[in-house]
Amino acid sequence: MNEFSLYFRYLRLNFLGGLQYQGWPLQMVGVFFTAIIDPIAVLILFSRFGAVGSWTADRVMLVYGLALTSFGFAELFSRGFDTFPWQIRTGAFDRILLRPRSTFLQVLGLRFQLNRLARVVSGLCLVGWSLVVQGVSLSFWHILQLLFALAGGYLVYTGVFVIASAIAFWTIEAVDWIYIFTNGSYQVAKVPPEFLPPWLRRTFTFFMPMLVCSYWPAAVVCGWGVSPLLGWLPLPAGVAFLGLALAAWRLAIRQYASTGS
Amino acid sequence: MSLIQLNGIGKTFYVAERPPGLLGALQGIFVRQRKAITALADISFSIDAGELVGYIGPNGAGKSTTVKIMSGILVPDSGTCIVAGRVPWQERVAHVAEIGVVFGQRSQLWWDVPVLDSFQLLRDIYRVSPTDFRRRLADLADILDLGQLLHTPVRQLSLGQRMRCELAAAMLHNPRILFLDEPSIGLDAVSKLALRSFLKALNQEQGVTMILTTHDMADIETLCQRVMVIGHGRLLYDGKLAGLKQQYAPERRIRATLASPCQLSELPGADSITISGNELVVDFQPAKIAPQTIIAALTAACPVSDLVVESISVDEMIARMYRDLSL
Repeated sequence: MNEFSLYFRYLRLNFLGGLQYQGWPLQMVGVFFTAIIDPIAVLILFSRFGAVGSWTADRVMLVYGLALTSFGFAELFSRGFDTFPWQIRTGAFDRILLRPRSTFLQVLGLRFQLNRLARVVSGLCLVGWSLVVQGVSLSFWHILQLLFALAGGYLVYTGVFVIASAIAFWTIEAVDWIYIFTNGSYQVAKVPPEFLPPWLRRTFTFFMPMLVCSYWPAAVVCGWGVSPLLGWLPLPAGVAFLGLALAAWRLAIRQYASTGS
Repeated sequence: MSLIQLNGIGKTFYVAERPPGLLGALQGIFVRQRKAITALADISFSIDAGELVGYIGPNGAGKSTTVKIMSGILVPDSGTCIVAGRVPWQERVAHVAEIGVVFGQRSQLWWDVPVLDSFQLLRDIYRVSPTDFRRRLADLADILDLGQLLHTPVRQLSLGQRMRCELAAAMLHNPRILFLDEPSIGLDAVSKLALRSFLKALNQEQGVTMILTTHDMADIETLCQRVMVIGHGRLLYDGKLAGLKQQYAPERRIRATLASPCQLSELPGADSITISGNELVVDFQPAKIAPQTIIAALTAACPVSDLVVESISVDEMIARMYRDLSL
């Protein structure tokens, strides 16, 4: 059995485990409501004050929807890394090292919760709604770019989880601020980039390329006057960021092998 | 060539230390005190295929560290370690496919799903063929009496039931080497006996090489021909349990029941005599005085209705040894 299908066996087992608990449909509803209520604050502000410059609510929601969906996918399929920092002290990683498979794959498959699908669904709804309201006509290439944007965003957020897990090998205390790059970063996507302080915009463009995977493809698809080439950047940016994260991860494993838990 | 060979293994951990309290925590930000803890100083031993070795020592002596090094989780600071022809941490994947590890305090099963689901995932992880898996599972289920347990979620199992499943899980891929880190911890008497007979059969019939760390001396007494004692990161004894007894528990104890009260303060050759109620206890050393001589003297002096000669319990012997070596 190859690593990929093994990963889905892991997910299946975790999924079945989750079903053992009565509360899972309720959880799903819960996450769904949070994701729906989340953009409402912005929508209310816009309905009160109208557009901010060229920025209307539906424009903002496209960028936000892309970021939210990517983050949702990462939470769905990379949840193992998301929860890993809190599992490492229990010796979970020793067990992983004792199995003749890639450590990356095993951590990825540590956890799977179907209720994380809720964020994906609400993110996709926002994207769809925004595109319809704006009356954007999508070409085949635009659809491809949007899919690549989600894929790139997924890789970026997975990369953030991986980096957090790598840090957790040294210290668990320093892991909380990683939320700036997960929940914090998709919240930032609610603010039109031109109103972001430059340092924040640069951080989320060049350091963690969240805006590359949300704002740029949105701008290209809707024709907000950026170079169409930028629409192809999300995937390479995502791959590069995850590559960086994996390098940190390998370093951390080497460190773990010499210190233990 | 032995199956497991350790030579001069050393391992030191560094623990960050900071003064207690809020002030200490603040101080800890700026000044990092690191304290070195030597877990293993210089460990060398070799184990042949088919051996079942008991590995004992007080808490914190370095038993688990040794097991972690042999299973490839930890890299030692110095020395060499070869297990089945490989350096464990250098060829992790190939190495761990050939060993099984059971941690008494941790589970390798998935908590929320029936045991069988975990086993099937382990089958896929270790690439066990479906036919081999069916056969091995049937064997293991039979010996360990798993039956109904296979369809029960792990969280609903008792500790004894879970340990039986853990053993099966560790053996599904048919490893040649099995490391057991305190497998009997917290088990009831019945489960302990089942564990021991399973390990014994596995070792004798299939020739699985085992290293067993435990605090239960009955485990050692029933299972291991060879014992290694570790303390302060060094190997203090490596040999037969009988040899350890000769060194640390040479004396015998006569436990006599008195038919009627009797005053006895001295017996030639006896180390000590204690009387409490109608029980009389005499310690002596067979090397100095023959048992029949001292028993004859005792029965001549006092009316004895019953009498047993016993050796010091292994627990007491080990406690004595730890004390002697100031562990």
